[in-house]
Amino acid sequence: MTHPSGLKMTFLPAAVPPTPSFLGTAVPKSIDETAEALRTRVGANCVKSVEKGHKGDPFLVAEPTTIVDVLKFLRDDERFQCTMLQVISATDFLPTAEIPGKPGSPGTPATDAAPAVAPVAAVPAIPAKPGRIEIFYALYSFVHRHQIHVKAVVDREHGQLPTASGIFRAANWYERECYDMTGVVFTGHPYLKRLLLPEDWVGHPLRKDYVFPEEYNGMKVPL
Amino acid sequence: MSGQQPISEFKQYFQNIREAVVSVSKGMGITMRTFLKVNGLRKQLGGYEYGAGPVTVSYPEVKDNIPLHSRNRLFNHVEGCIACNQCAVICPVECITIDSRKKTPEENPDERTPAAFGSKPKKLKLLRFEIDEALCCFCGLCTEVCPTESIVHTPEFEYSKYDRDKLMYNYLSFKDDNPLPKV
Amino acid sequence: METPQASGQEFRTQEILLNMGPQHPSTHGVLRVEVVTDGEIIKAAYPDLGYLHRCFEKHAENREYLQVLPFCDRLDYVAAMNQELGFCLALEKLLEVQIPERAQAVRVVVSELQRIASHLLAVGTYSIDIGGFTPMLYAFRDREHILSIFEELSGARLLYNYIRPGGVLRDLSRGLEDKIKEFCRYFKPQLQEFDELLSGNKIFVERTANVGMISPEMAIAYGLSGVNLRGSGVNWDLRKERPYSGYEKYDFKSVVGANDVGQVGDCWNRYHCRVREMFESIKIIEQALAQIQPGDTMAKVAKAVKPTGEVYMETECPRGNLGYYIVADGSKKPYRVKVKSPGFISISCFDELTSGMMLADIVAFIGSLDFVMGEVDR
Repeated sequence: MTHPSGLKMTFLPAAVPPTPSFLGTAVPKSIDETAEALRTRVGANCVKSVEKGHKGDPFLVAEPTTIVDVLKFLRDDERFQCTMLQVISATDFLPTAEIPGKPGSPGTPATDAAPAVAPVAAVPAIPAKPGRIEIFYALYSFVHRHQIHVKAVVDREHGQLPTASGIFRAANWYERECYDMTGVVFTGHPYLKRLLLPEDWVGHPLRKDYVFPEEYNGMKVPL
Repeated sequence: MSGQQPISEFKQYFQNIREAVVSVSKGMGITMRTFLKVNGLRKQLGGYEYGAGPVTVSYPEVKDNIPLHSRNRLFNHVEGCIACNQCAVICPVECITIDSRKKTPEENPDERTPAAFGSKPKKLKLLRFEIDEALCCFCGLCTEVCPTESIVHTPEFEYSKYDRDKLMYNYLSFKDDNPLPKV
Repeated sequence: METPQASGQEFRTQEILLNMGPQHPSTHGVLRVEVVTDGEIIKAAYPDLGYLHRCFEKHAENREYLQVLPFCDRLDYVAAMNQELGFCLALEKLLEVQIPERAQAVRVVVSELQRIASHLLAVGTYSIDIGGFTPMLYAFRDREHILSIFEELSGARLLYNYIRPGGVLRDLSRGLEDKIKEFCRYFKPQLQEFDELLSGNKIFVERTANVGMISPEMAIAYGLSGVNLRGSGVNWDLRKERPYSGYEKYDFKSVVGANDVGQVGDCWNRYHCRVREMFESIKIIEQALAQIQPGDTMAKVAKAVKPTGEVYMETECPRGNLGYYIVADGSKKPYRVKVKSPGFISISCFDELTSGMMLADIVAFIGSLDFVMGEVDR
């Protein structure tokens, strides 16, 4: 059908997941098990890494080109059945410069008067990180009652990712909002236009280097 | 309605009328009962007797009681203020502006705040203390961090002005220019 | 008499583009819906958001955690306690701090009171959207009692800034506990009276039953939650499935739509689930106040916290499941706060579900979804 503004909108075919049965008991899933299942069933290099050392919730980092297959597998497979997409969020990271490391110092030899000083360990250099935008997907299963977090990392300047709106209908508006706020383009999306900001707004606000405009359509923006 | 055997349209018509009259008259009965109950028991509203009378308060002749911790317009007692800047730092909307400098030896640097404000040393001279009440979001964070409790929330909420600039209050020379008469 | 068809003239109709503008009493905030209608039947409805966008996520990146909390209140301003609770729980997960028992019980009491207040507003305004003017003031009269209790407790009637990371701001005094118990005792018959007044009324039933059907598969595919999901027959309540803040100690039912009036998944069922949930909330408050013990109301948490890591935490708010995704990098300010609001998802199922409805039904549908534009636009 045609939107009143003249744009052609195509709706993807009905993407209804299988009806869940609510007789399942809680099955805790470790993130390593999930990564292993994905690597065997979807592809050897679909999961780039598993992050679990930090406080909070662990997550998987998936390859951006295979993200659709990963989400489809997590939705349909018997062990996971993550039929609910909770949120898609985009976080912007500016490129960081390398932080040089500190060389180790040798310990002083022990004398009768003073105790021995332990040598200071060498601190490794923290490498430079390129700028990136991390897209975060939170999936939830009604049957098994577990939560799986998946991330896809794309480039800041020309970030592109295939759309998940064929798998979860909820992804439609979440992806529009991510595009609106950070500028990531979701290829294959039926109607990727700005959602919260007006259509003629320039710039993507949630980027870290966003500069607030002085004027909008001739009106001065009040401070 | 699901789960019933199909009835003829003729019967359905009269059944609809009956249901409509019964349910609407039930509702009207409740309204009438409440009307009679509320008007028959006109009592002075005090305490918290729920359901004991009419709930409408004839403002502005009768005013409701403001509770003790209510967060309305701010006030800063400048004799108790030590210009520590904590309130300006914690304010989420940055509505407090403070200017101060270190006191010169002639200006009594050993002064302390009055006993009501904790008798803390006042090492800095307060040059400017303004709060823009138009920006204030009444969160109460500034009153929590103040070490002398000189900035407080007052029960004053009837201070509307016709001009937004008039809501910038200067507490070093405070004028209560409330146009509403105190009833 | 010659009809137009008989004389060979065709009766032509044309689709109209109607603007259900941002200022409209029934759209529950500033929502603009472009409705394409053919006479009375709607062909398509395109919602247009962004009129209440206040850049919450950008503000949160420039303020400390304690300063972000007053902003969280203002997301869904009708149910502010639940918004604060979600943020504090997410932050406490990162800080790995244990909350004292009394603080948990007070949080539960306050959240359930807020749930009653929010549902009262939802059903009251729903009734006035449909056209029944009386029940709204009945609902608002009882909501006023709750807001007065909150004013005594926290200091403000609508935007409280009361639940803090580590516990709550101020303890629940003895007098206030008695007041809340008295309110529950007074409110139960009032709620039964409200139910009698509105739920069986033939006009209300005709306007809302079998209207705006959402099937359970559609509800899950769209990610709906809360009453919108339970009204379609899916028994899913986060307070029972993934309990937080001590909810596992209380005995209450999770309310699911039934087939007694209309069908499961229609507007009447969603409305009635809200009324029945208020009864369950009263039960929870009575149980919590019966077993509350004196104790601390605040754990030892620094004023300026510096957490690291990332967390996603969902809680059951009156409108659905509100989720906070916090990315923390060890400094005093969060790196990124993303809010998953249930109203956002409720509006996104507009396009598909309104085609074929009549124009008057779209008002009933909007009211039954119960979203608030403050949390949709953030």
